[in-house]
Amino acid sequence: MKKINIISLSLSILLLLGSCSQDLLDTPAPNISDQSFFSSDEAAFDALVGAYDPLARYNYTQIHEWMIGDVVSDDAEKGGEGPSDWAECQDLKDFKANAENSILAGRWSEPYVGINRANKLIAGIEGNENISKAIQDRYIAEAKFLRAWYHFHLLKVFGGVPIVTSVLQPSEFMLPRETEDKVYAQIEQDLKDASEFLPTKNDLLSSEIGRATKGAAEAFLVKMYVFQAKWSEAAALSDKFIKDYTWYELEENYSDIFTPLGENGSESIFEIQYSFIDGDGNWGDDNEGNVTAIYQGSRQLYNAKGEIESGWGWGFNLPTHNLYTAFEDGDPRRDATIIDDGDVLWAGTDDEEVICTQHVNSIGYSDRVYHSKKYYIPRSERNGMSDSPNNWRAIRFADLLLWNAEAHAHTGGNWQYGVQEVRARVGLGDSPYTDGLEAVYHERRVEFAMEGHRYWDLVRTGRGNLMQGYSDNKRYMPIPQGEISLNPNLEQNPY
Amino acid sequence: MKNQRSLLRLTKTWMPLVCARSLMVLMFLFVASLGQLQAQDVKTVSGKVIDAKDALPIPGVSVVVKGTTNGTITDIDGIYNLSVQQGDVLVFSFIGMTAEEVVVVNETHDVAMHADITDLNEVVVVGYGVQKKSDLTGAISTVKPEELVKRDVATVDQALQGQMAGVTVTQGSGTPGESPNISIRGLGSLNNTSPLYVVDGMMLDDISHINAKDIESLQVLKDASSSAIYGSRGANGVIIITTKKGKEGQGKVMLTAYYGIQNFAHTPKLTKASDWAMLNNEAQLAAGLDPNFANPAELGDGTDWLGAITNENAPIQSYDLSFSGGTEKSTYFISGSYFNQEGIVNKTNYDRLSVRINSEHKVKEWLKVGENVTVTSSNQSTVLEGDEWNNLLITPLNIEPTTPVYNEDGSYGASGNQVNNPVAAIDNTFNDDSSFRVLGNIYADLNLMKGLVFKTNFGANFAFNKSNNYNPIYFVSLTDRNEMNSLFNGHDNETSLSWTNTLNYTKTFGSDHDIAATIGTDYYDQTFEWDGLTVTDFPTDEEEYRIISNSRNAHQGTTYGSLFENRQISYLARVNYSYAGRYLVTANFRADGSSKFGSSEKWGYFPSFSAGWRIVEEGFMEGVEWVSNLKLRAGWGQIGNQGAIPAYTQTTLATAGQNYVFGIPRTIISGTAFRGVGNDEIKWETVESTNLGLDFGFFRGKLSGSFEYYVKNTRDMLLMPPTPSQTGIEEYPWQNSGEMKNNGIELALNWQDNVGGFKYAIGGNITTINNEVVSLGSSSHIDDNDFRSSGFINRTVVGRPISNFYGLVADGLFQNQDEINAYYANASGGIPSNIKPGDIRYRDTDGDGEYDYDFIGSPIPELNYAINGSLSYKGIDFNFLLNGVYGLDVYNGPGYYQLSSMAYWNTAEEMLNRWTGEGSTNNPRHARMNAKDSHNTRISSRYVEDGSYLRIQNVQLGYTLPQSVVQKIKLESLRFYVSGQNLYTFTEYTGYDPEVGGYGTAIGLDRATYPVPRTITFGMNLSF
Repeated sequence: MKKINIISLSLSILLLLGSCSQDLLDTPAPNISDQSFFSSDEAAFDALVGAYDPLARYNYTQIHEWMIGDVVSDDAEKGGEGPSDWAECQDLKDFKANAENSILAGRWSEPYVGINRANKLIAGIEGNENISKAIQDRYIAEAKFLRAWYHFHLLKVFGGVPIVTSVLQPSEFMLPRETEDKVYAQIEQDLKDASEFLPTKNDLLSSEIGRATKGAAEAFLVKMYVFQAKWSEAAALSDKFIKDYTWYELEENYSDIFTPLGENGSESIFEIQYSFIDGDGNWGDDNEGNVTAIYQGSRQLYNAKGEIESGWGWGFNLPTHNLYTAFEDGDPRRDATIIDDGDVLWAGTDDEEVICTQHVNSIGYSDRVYHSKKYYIPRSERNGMSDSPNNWRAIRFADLLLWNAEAHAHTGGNWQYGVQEVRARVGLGDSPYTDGLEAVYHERRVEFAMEGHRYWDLVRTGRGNLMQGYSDNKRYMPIPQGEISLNPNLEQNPY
Repeated sequence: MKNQRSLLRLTKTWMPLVCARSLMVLMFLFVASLGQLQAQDVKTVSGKVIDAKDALPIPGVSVVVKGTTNGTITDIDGIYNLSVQQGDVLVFSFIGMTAEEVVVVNETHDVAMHADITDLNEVVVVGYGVQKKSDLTGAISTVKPEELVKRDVATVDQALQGQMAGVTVTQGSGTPGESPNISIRGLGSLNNTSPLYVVDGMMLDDISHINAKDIESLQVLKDASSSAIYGSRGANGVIIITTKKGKEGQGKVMLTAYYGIQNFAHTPKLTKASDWAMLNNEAQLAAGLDPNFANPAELGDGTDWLGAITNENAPIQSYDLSFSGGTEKSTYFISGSYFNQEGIVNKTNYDRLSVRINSEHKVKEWLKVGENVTVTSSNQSTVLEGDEWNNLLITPLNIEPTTPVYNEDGSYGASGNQVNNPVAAIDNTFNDDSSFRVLGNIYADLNLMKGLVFKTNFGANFAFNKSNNYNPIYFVSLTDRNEMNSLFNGHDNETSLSWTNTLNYTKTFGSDHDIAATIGTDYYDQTFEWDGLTVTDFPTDEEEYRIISNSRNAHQGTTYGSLFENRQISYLARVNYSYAGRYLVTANFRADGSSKFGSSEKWGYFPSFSAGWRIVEEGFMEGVEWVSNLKLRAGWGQIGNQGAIPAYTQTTLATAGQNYVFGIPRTIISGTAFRGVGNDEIKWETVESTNLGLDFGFFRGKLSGSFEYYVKNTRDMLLMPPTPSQTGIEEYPWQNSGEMKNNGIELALNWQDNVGGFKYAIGGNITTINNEVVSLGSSSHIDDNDFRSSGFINRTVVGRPISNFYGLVADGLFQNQDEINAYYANASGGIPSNIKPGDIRYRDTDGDGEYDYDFIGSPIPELNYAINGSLSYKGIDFNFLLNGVYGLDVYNGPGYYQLSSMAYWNTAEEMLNRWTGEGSTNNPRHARMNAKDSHNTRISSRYVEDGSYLRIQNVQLGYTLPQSVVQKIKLESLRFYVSGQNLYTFTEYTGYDPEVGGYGTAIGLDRATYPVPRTITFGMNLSF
């Protein structure tokens, strides 16, 4: 009898597992799923911040804007340790990039991350009764602003790209490229929709600085008109902007724009925001910091004894002598943009540095090169050997003034106003150029030198031939080969 | 006592002054003196021992009174004399012979010994049970425990290198405490290819904490028919380990200890300061720049940077003590072990302390219970390795030999080329990990009726790991410094529980029909939790103040954390049938449910079948004396694999930490995003394998071996194929896509013989692996191993083995301008301005000026092989193991620096053969010097080197003291040995070590990983 009992006990143990097995196999995830996430205004805010996050990415704003905008143009050389340091950037500059170029791979993917997040936010809150109506309106407007921003940053590098305005289902993973016109149309629509519900800059709480505003959306729309040569629309909208949005004004002192004083200041229309966590060992995207400063910082310094020592920076994005000579004599913007050998920065403070350009002048450029100043910040504001908190100045009021001038120059309007405003701030009188367009082109070059605009200013105005090796088929960069492999519907650019 | 004193003196000379040593010496004295206390009576027995085969005397046979330490050995004529008591049992043993036991009745006992021709009656542990080796039908390899302890290495898995056909062990990093990668029969998957470890019935992912000397048996289940009983965990093969049990009879004490020194086995050859400065000047001049050095010749050798970070003669030591024994009712095995290995690079270290208690008790006639428990505490200190920028095995190669380690004022010497001073980096590295693990199981065996046994086994594995990392403030130069001190503290804990129940039934029908059947259940639950915290700004860097509360911003530390839980439920069944020991059939079935898979895909069903034919048992083989074993085996099975798939991939989950900055003052605001996409259709990866095997033994077992042919195909491979970036998906969803096939042969041969007391054996094994990716689902290729942010080294495509190297093809060097003109004649951009004679000619088939990308090498070997041998004569024993890999390539990452035309970093000595003029060389490794080079450093075949090697893995020479001597000090046996690991490697590879390894699809890129050291150890084994 006893044995029988043991046998039946054993068998029942064997069977025990069976009865409860299905429940045991459902282990609940410790993270929230998309099904239940959008349950409150606060949750919606988290997703909104997530949609802004890609704006600041390393493989996007932090290195690409200047790698393409400045280095590829006639304003700058690549720099760094030597020719093989970021050789792929040199390939871009030489207009010999191929579709395997890893800079372009990052450039293609990061804006789409932002687009997807914006779409997910819209899908999650639109008509969601857990989210208050005012929040829905504003967040959807911000999402559309960001979606437009991201699409444009693809468009300006690659030309017409796939338009994505919803969270894609697997059957939609292989959308083809659209024409540039269609992408611009989508961007314009998003910006118009957005500006309707966005607050103005002077309505922002101080804790909201950096978020999209009505002014940012409209200024960006002006830029879209300018890029499409829709001059009358650009002139009308920028006139209205200048007249209505009186809280935007030029920073009194040009060189303050790139100091903490000018950050999110009166001239700022839209900036990509950075900060950093001191000493946490993280870098770039994990740290909310900006690597532009260390990339562009001086590679060498002179010490007190006049000997050369290693500098803090890596010495990329070196202004050319060509740019140096573009400044009029007495234009203070040159000193605010370019650092020459032996220049003393932050003199008399603990941050004082004597800049040495010997290394960067020994790595093979045919003409003299300099270090770049705008994003190079004093030691006390940097974060060790890491990234820095300085914001990327994406749209300044000066931009708007010169777009306004450019639009009027095309339509026969008053181009002098914008040019004069910008020049007056640096103590210069009338432009030496009497032709409106020439005056605007000159002014844009020296006003925005080393801010990542030059390449696009040249190609959109048909002046690409100022760059050695450029031809019109090189305006748009190759679509990454990896993307074409994954989506054969993507047609390669004729690069 | 005299002998003990000399032993002690000996011990003293080769043990370092650490606490552990004194402790061990004390223990040794203690246990040795216990031996002294035993008393004996005297009566003499004598006799002659002969070989039953040829009647020749055998010298050196050990003759011991059973259960005592009383014994002797036979002399040159096979004669022995021993003092015994009436009724004692004499045990005659000799390597390669079956032991004989004789009860003492007379004063003379002659003994004829028989060669131990077969180990076929050996019992082999298979999944959820045991089988006689002769009855096996699957592909199972066994490693004898004595082979595991022959090699003085830190972990059991390291000791497996070269031991078995089909089991590839790659020690990618030689950092003390790092475990090697093990793969069984090729790479069955693009992600996890590690086998499952089963220790005393408990499933584990690694065995680095198991003491090799506690192991009773180790089996490797290689094919599906044998491993299918482990279902979804068995696809990569299973390594089953059983730890030691005490044996009934007199207690036994064993002490083993070794101490040794380790050094670099090979270091890359670099130029000395004078040569480097000469090359640097040449590079400057070629670029039209001023030379940097006025008189290179006077610079001499310069700094030996590698020497400056080397821990010369780094000690390695190990001490093990075990006690075992038992009665008819209870047995015990208790052991303690201490291991300590310093690294060959300063500040790297690993130590481990472990204890084990195994015991078993017969509570009732029908009930047996027992437990196996081991507790391990280990510590590891590491320095930065594995990256290609500041890795501490790269910076000593890169930094200029003209820079001193220290300046005259005692400060650190700073590189002029932004290379971190490696000595400063190590001085300021404080990376310590510690681990505490408790692994144990309790079990009960119930004999329900004749032939029917119920077993239940409850196992638990608790692992607590802690990491501690401190970065002090230091300054070498503006690019080599740290301005903010910080402390990272991380903790993780893992708990896995398993509960296994089986019912086994065995019965013999008639005289020829044997049946064994097993059914069972298995439940497994794993939870893993980790948290980490970084705080900064300490008022001082003093070591004793490196605790969180001293941080000035402890209130706003950066925190990390995660948690997951996996569960698995299984049902299993097996039937073995054998007819007359001649025809053997096995069938397995397992059903597995896993929490990791989609809601309707949780369950997978895995069958397998195998059959064996013992030809040697057939009537027609009778009288064929020279064949002692011949068995044909065939098997087929399907196994599931969970691969490396993490928990919760079924759903789209929110990830916090997607932050952005808003506000004045600027504030980091927490954001959330859905980075991936869930896939609720995710299911098991299936591996289907077929095995054909032949076991043979000839000439009474002198020649034995086995031959296997296998095919292993994987389908529904668990992959994260990239999705087009326009989807915005950042973490690619797991999908069942892709297929892979592996096939190959394995041959193991062993010859052993005994000639006049001179016993020797020689053996070897060969494995071939043909790996091919059959499908990658929707993706065309998978790139991996990003190098210097400038491209990927590995590309996996359909129709090739995984992870081929991909890049430009360096065909040679341009010898003159005419060649350049001709080459670029049709190039769209003309001749690039920086190309001059002496630069690399990359293949460009269509001449358009865009160089061709192609597959430029494979890190997957064609052949793995090993040769081992042993000799023994009287008390002397000698054995060796050679281990080789053939037909594979290594991508030499540091070559980027050492072959650079810029001579910016220190250069390889071979660059003295650089191109210096037309006809000087056409080797693309040796391009011209040019400080402005950007052309020669592209990812290309220039850096691909033959990675084949043959390594003298282990050589050991031992001496066992004669029984007559040992007896006097009342010991059972005493052996001393000297052993060498990794003594020499025959290879053409120029880096530290061709054994590079990799994981998943990132394989074979050498980023100057920490090489495995050359080790010489002295040791002893003692028992009484």
